[in-house]
Amino acid sequence: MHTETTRTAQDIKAIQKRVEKESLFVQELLSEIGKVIVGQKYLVERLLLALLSNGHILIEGVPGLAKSLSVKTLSDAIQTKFQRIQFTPDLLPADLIGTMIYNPQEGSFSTKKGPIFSNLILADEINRAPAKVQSALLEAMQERQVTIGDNSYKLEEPFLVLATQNPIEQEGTYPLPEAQVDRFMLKLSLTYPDRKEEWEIIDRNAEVGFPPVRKVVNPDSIMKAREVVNQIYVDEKIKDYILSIVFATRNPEVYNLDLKDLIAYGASPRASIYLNLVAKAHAFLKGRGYVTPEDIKAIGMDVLRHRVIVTYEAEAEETTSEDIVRKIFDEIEVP
Amino acid sequence: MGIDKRLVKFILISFGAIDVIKLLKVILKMRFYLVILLSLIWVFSASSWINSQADSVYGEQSLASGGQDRTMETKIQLEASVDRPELPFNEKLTLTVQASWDGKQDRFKITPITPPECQKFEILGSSSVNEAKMVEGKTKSTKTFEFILKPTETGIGRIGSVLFSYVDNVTEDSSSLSTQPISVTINPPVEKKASRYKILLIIAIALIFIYVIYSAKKKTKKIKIADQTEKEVKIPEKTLEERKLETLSDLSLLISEGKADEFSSKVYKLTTNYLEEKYQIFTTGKTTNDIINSLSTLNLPEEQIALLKDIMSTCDLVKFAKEMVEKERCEEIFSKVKRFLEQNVK
Repeated sequence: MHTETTRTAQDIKAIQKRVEKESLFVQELLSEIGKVIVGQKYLVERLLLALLSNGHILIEGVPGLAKSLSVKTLSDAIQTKFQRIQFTPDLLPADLIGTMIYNPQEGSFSTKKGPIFSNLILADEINRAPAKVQSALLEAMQERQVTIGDNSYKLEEPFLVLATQNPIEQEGTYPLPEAQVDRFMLKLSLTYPDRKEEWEIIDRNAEVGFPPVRKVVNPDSIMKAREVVNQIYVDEKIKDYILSIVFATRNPEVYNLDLKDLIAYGASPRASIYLNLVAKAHAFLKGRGYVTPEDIKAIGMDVLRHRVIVTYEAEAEETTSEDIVRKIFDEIEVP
Repeated sequence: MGIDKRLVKFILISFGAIDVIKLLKVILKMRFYLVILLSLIWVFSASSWINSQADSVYGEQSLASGGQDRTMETKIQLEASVDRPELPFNEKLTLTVQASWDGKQDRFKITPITPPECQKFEILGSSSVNEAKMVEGKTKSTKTFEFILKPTETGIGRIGSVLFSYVDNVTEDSSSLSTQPISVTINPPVEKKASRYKILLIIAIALIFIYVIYSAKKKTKKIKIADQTEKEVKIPEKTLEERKLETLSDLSLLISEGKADEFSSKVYKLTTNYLEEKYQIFTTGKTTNDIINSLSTLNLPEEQIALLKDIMSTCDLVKFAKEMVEKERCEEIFSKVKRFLEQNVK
């Protein structure tokens, strides 16, 4: 196996060819989802990125932005199982992962698997459930296996959790701690569609039901694509750029950025890992066998916005982590 | 802390840092005049200080302790005083005799007073002043005689009585008053300390004078040189494109050395630097696409934008995908950048 530094131009050309071959389904998939979902290209692209780089997504956005429909449509198009779990204050870990049920006739326990045994999971309003339910989900996300009774069960691949948080109502919720939020590869911020898109949404919803979604790829193709994504070439200059970005969130003064008083905690090493992985997936979506700074900039905000914790001073000045990340990307020199 | 920094930044922006720099430049240019102004201020302050030193040497003596005498008459008050109770031999003493009364000046006819008899003093001169003023609605008149006395020897000097005769024009009464004699100590002569400062002052003025002449000569010389330079044939400054073309030709060495990666990185940097200088666009945090998008808003010819995109994308390929190890590809980039710069020269 080649390391990044020993790769030759010939190796990269070979990867390029593989990427071109394996990423053919991407455009087809996007257009198929586009038949049902209007706009939300950003959301659908990020779902694919997480799927290809084996990560999970946290979405913060107001209700009614087609989050469930997007995941459901994607699931149909890639022929995977989909589950939507509404998180509520009375939800128990067993409701999520499953439990042992006693059969009095046979005098034995049988395992009843929970809704987490699926490929694509929409954990709706994750902050409404108590901490132990959140922990159960996050553990499953991390370990990719679930223990019921004495037995551990592997979760089926691909496994993607799309958790949502409602930013409007905070009464009686259990906000995810920063350490838990860090486990999500991407945090997305969804906004309302523009006027033109919403016009089309009205037209499409004038009739009952959505057009059927054609099955574009199967889970095996997704797993194969993941292998190719892993091989995508990341030059040392790009790695250096990633580290500059991440270190600038920790020690902005070293990079001549006047942000020290605004940042309480910088991004964790997970940020560097995920920036690298997601950038590769982004390059794959664009049909490239190598990563460019464009890829880093395209996905940087989604990887970093929940990993930069702002100070009270920043909050008082209404400076968000997004403002800080944007400033860092504007100031750090692109290789 | 952050708020303070932002406040400072705001103030700097409000007042315009560039203006501050301009102001400093003007101050530098005006330094000649500033030196003169500062020197004048210094001279003025120094002379004031010298005067104050002189005052402190002689000292102001209280008239009350100066051996004054007051002979009360019902209508006229007479006072005699000296400006100090003791003095050095090489200085002069002032004796003041003042007669004051209520009413107008012409109320009394005053006989001219005779100068006092003095021991160890000689009278150099005298003067008199008449004054009338209103105090609380009443007229008050004063007649002041001043005698300048010069010591003739050291020791205790004595100033004799001054006789003052007058006739009341209203009652036609005549009377006379006299002052008490006054003793004054005459000390040996004292050298004036202020003379040292006077020398300093003269030196300072001389230095300023020399500096003024020197500066004037220098200025004249500069003007002459500037005139001569203007007269000489002006060498035209190189344009931005010409300078970049020179740098580009230096980079061509890297192609022959087979350093394709370094060549493309430097050519990319040269291109972005050129765009920054030419179109004032900020390229530090921008990717190739960002830069091309910025250029699209500048109404550049599409052909040029396409050429730039081609150059920068090819450089990206070399930088990030180890492409273009061949010499021919490097030469292709070289000729494209050259073409782009030459197009802009035209």
